[in-house]
Amino acid sequence: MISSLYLVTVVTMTCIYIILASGLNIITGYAGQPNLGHAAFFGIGAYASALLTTKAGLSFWAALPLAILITAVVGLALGVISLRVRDDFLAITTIGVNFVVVSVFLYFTFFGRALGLGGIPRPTLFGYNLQKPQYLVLVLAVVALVMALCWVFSRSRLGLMVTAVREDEIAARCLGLDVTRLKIIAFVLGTSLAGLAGSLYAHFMTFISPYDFAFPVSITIMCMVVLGGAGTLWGPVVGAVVLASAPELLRFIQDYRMLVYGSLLVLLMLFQPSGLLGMGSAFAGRELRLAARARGRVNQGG
Amino acid sequence: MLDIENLTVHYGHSVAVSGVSLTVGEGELVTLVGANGAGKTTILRTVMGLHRPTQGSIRYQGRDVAGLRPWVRSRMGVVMIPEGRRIFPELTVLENLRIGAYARTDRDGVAADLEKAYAMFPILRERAGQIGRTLSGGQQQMLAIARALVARPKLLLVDEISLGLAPILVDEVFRAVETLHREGVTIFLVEQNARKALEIADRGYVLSSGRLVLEGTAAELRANPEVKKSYLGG
Repeated sequence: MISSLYLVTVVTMTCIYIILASGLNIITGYAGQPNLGHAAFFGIGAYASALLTTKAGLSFWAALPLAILITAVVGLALGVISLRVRDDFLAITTIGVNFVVVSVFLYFTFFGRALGLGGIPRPTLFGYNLQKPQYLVLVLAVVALVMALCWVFSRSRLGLMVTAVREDEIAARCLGLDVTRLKIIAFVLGTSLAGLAGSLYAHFMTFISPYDFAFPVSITIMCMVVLGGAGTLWGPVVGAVVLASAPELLRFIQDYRMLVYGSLLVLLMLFQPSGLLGMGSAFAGRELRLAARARGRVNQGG
Repeated sequence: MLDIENLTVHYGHSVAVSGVSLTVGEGELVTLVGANGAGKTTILRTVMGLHRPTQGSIRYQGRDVAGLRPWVRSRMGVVMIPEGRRIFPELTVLENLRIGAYARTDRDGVAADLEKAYAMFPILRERAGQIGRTLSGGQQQMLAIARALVARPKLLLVDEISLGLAPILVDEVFRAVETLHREGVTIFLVEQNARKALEIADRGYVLSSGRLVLEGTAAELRANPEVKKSYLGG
């Protein structure tokens, strides 16, 4: 019984990471904008949802969309400010955003300071209180929805334009693409997904604290995207599954766990820098073939 | 169609272009020639909106566009083929072309222009599903031209289209530019290969160290001893 509950927790967390990594993938993978502060938006979603349910008395079902909306609005504001700079400067700016957001959670009583926020309710459905296993079913359904959304995005005109911005900003400008707007749209889409993940996390854990959303979490999410293959649909999913489960699977080597985990990352980046599903990967065959086939259809469609 | 007056552009503290005035009339093919580093590309990029001028005005169809962002200018019909091809390397040929047609809403028109682009460069039709990066240099340049074509420009800015191409391909891309011109597109062509540029252009300007030193019809410039000596290899 204990072990199955443990499994439920690991799988739920993996799902939440899949949503986080897929969101970051829109920003960094498709639009090519480094964001090392993704956990900040994860935190904003979690705190928004927690406060809306515990202090404003809303239900989970009302708090969830509001938390996404709040994160999107903050993402829009911070995106407009941050996206004025690019590349390494943007990376540093987003790190700064992460520290500022965590500091706000830490220093304002309204956000519970270092003690965090507790007593966050689990959702109820048709009068039933969802416990962890039932909650996992809900999370799985959301993941399916998110992946469908990402699939539509990757095949859409918007997805194509955003990719063009990643590939060559100057060329995109020469052809009349509104580069700034496209970057901001990608940023808002990605941060909204982080807000969604945050809300799911808050109501799963029922207790959140600022450090759940600190800079190292942003790094973990970035690793998932890069490891799986940035700019591919399923790469971030693979990355999230591998990196979220690896520390658990490697538990048997105890103290050497992080050593092995870290070394694996180093080796992978040395020998397969475009990620597990990226270009030139042995695992990529299927993904790329599928992509080619989808493109073939588009091509015939003219 | 394009009137540049007293244009000055700085890079940081250094002057790249100084007091340049030139015009490109509707339907004309005007070339701007000069040595590497003379400031040709800077002028073109400023017309597109990629650089801010420090001084002077840029009027397009009678309207001052100096403060407008590139995509706004593009909506008005200004499209640029940037230096060094700059195709989208991880996207297919067709995807590259679709991005060119991004701003257009006339589906039939896009389809027709796509056909036109394929007719001009049949190899692109064969390679429609291929990733841009895998094309040869010449094919990439053809794609860059075709991509601008499907944007259906009124004023096409062309930057160093022959750079790094084999002679036979240079002829081909210049023929393509000529074809576009014949179909009524106004073209402002920046080129180091003055000989080729002056063969297809109506008029030309010569730029040296950020200043205009000569202007005239293409024939006049071809016959000019100064131009012959400095830019046409004697």
